[in-house]
Amino acid sequence: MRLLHLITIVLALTAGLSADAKRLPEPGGEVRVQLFGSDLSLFEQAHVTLPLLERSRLGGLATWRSDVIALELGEDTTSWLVRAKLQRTFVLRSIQQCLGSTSSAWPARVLRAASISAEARLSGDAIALTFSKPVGAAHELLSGCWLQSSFALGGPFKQAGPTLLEANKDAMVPGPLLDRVQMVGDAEQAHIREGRGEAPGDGRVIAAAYPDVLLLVQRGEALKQDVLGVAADAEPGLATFYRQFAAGTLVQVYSGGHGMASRGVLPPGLAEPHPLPRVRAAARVEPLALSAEDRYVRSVPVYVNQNDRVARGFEDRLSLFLGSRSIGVSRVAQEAGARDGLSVVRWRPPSRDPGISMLELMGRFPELRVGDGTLLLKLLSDSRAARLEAALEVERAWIDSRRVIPLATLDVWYEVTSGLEGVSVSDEGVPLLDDAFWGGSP
Amino acid sequence: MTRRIPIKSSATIHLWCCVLGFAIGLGTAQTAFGYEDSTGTLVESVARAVIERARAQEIQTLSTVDIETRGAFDQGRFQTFFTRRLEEQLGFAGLVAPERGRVGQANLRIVVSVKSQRVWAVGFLEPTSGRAPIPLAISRVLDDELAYALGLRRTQGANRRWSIERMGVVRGQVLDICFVPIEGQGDETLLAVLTTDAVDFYRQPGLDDSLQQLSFRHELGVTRWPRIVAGWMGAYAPGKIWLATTAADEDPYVVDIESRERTRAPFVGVPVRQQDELGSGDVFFADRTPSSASLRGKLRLVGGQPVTGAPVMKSFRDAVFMARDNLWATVDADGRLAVSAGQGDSWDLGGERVGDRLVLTDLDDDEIFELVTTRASYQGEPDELMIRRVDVLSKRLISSFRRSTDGAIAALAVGRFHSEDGPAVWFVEQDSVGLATVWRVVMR
Repeated sequence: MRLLHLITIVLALTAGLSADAKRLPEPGGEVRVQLFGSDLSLFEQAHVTLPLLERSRLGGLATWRSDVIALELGEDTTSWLVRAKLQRTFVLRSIQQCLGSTSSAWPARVLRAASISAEARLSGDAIALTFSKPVGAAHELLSGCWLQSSFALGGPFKQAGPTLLEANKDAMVPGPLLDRVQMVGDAEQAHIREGRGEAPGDGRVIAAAYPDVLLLVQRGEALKQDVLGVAADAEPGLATFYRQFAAGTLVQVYSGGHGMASRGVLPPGLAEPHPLPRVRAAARVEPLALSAEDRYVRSVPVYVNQNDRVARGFEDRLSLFLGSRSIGVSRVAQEAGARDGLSVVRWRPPSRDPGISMLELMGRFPELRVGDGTLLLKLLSDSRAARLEAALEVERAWIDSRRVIPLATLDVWYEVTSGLEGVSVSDEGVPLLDDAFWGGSP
Repeated sequence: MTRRIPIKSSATIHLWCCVLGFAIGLGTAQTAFGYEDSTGTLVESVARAVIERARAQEIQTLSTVDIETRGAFDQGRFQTFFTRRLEEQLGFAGLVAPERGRVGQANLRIVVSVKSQRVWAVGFLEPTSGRAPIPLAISRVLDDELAYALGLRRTQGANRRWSIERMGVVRGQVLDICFVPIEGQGDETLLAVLTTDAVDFYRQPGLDDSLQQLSFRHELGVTRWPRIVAGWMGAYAPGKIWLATTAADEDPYVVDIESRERTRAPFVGVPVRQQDELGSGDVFFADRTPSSASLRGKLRLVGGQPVTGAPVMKSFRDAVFMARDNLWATVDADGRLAVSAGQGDSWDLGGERVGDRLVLTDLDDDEIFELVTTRASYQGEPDELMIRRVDVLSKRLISSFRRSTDGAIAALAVGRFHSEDGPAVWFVEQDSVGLATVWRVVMR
């Protein structure tokens, strides 16, 4: 019910503006936003520059639009032609920076996970983009690339100070309705703040199109030794683990109920409802047997992002679970430190595309690579149905092998002050203010 | 008011008299004259009562027929739809066709009035012989059709019947619509539809026919719209549309439908249409606010001179003037609806917010204006058309008609295609796939 309520609000709030609004908004005003960490840089990127391609809906059909490029298929899906709508060198540099072998952008990580290299070069009046293997999902991939150029050619806002964005009158896209966006640290001052715990009483909440996924990733020795006892024929088994872990309760406790226990990797929004591997629990599941004394026979390295309160809550429960099996936890500060251990991972799929998202997770954890090259290429096929099929195959392989144990989905949501309309949430999970406006007096 | 019908003679009356007698004998008088509407039924009932009583008293002809109305009848319509029809039917029966020089045997006196939502025709057949007058009393329910036909100005409590009719589909993202009279084309009027691409023109061949698109269209040629996409049109002269949009670097201009030429507007002004109840009227002009759907500045006439008595408005979306009551209705930039007498004396409307556009008309012909608005909602939310009576005495807007729509109401206008059409509100409901439905609201 709460989810339904949330979706209703999101639909109402995220509807873009257009000419047929019977009450057109009045431009002007300032909005104060509170964001943290990587979300802050994603937010700035989304407002001061432009993606090379954007998803759009035209007449009910999902399609692609761009103020920057037009993408054409070459002879086959290894070669694409990019026609720039502005200076080609800007676009070329942007593609090279995004897809280059040393790039940290997610499209580059996706290509690396599939062992594909990309080359972009000027070719006549266009840019030739060549992949070492077929990439049918080039549009999806380039939607993760951003224009690297001067502010004058950028997005609807420009950086006017370390914490201030101003409307960019020389932008390539229609100017925003707001005059300024101020980043603030104090939640009390913010008109938009990251949702934590209980939603505000007045229901002013917006959520992303799909949730984050909380996963437990087992690697190296931890997987080999089955420290959780969840292997296919092991005791107590995965079903008992799920019951004793009680992820649904943890979502209630640590996330204010904004999410739910989940046994799938692909969240709603990325994949249609689909069957998951069946697991059976014993008729009676005992509560965790815990002792006041630490009598651990061994310990296992565990990583969790210490800044993520919800993930830390799950990690606490994990340590209790391991403790009941007389296994201690040695917390590590870096994800790389848990190569032979467990990671509690909050995963935000970078794209609505299931194939690309699975490759992105593989790029983060090379141990998750599955199948032969054919399956990986299928994740980048030109058919979404084929990509979804491949993604489901990968998901099943991860769960069957217990390399990935899905725990929960966590809604990505923001509190929005009353009167502020037109705010949406990007696929990256940050608020978008291009169409935002004050419904009453600014 | 009394109208005395001069008694006429006709060579065809005797033949029709036989037909009528046969028809009455078969009990089919109600359709014998071909009047199957409410007014026809009333007239036939009165005629039948008179004829039956006259026959019973062996009265062959009438000397005079006096018909009097009590109440707010439109005398022109009453004469057309009641008096002439009654005269015709009595003529068919031979009662008003005395032979030349022959004196009639009775006088007919009828008073038509309205009471308790019924139309009453009460009167006497007064024999000239001095015998006692013969009474007659006929009544019919006052429905919308009868009220319209008799030109009755109905009171608030009357049983109104609004009719909302689908008139056609137009393509594109609609910004505004307006009616444009065409010079030298009789009374032909076109509906101009402004979209983000062009202005398209539509005609309506008959009162209830669907709209037909003309082959001529005026392309806007706008390549770059700001985030606020809005447009305004006003026909300030026959065949000439003054057009303004929020498109960057686009000054207002005039489109001449006949020459198909585009010329620069005499000054930079946004048309603010002022319709009367039949859809014609002045066009006022206001200043634009860059990248906004709001208007500002003093309202001006087409010659550029200020509109006398217009309120000073800081920033507004639309304004209409009710000349008879010297009232202005405005929507400000925040969507607040206000009604005021020029510079002051604002009505307390509770700060209600409405959509950007207003239109004003007298749809039910009761000499009380109706203010038509939409809901102050944004895209993705259901919209609503609201018609409210402007009650000058109580200084209130009284809800008269509401209709929810699935899509956004993108444009509103008052007008009519032909001079014989009644007043109507036209609006465009925009859906999410680039189709827009044109609706008409009338009172029937």
